[in-house]
Amino acid sequence: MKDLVEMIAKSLVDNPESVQVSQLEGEQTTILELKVAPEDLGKVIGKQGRTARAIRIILGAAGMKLKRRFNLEIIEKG
Amino acid sequence: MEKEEKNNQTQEFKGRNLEDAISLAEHELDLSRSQFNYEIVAEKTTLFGIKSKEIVIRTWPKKPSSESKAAQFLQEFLSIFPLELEFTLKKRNDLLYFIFNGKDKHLLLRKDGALLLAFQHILNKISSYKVQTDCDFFRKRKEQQLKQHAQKKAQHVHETGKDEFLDPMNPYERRLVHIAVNRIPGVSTESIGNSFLKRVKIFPQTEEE
Repeated sequence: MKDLVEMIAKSLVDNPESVQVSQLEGEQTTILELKVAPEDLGKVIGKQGRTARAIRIILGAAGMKLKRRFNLEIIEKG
Repeated sequence: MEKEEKNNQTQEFKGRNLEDAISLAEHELDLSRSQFNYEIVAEKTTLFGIKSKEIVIRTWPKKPSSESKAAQFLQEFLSIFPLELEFTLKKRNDLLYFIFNGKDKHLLLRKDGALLLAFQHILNKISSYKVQTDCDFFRKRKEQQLKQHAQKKAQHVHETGKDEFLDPMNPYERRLVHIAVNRIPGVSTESIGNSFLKRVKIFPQTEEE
């Protein structure tokens, strides 16, 4: 799943080299932390969060198939 | 970037007229004419024989097509995506039309096509062309429903003389509604709101207007 998010994020941003995704496994939930360069933050979130929502929908569908919940957190890289 | 490609991969073709030269280029390059750019290098009327003209064009392939950038992304993406999906790509004018298929295609259409539209959104960000996604004529069914719903409301407005508001919709949907409703005489439409999603107001049109 990490790769999925990474792939989407890299295709959206201007600085693909600074895209980082880390995966935190919980009991039922996996948290995916997406880190991008500050100037790319808007690109992965989108107008009114539409891009972030689209990524979450895609994760949700994958989660349904894998019977696991995925949470996407978008973090600005300091 | 385009310049660079132009230098690397230009080729010249001669013909008696433009059509001739392009056909030759298509044949030699094994590309259809929509897949390369060309410019006219020289055009001259030779003196041998009467009206024998010669034209030279220079061709170069179009950008490693950003059309395939989206397709390439989707191909790679689906190979690691847990859902079993495949797609075919059609190109209509400047529109890329991705049609999904596969064992898990029903999941694309859940919740009013949420996943299908999510893919559309992401692909639109990646591609410089406009992208539409579809599966099992979802789009057509949806449009049909929307038009019928709007026209039913419009009839109602016409009969009662009272305004009606439709649910918030995106610009594409609103366009369809405006067109469908304005076919019915005696009513008119207007978009209300200022966010991405707006409501359409259907109201009776008075004679003077």
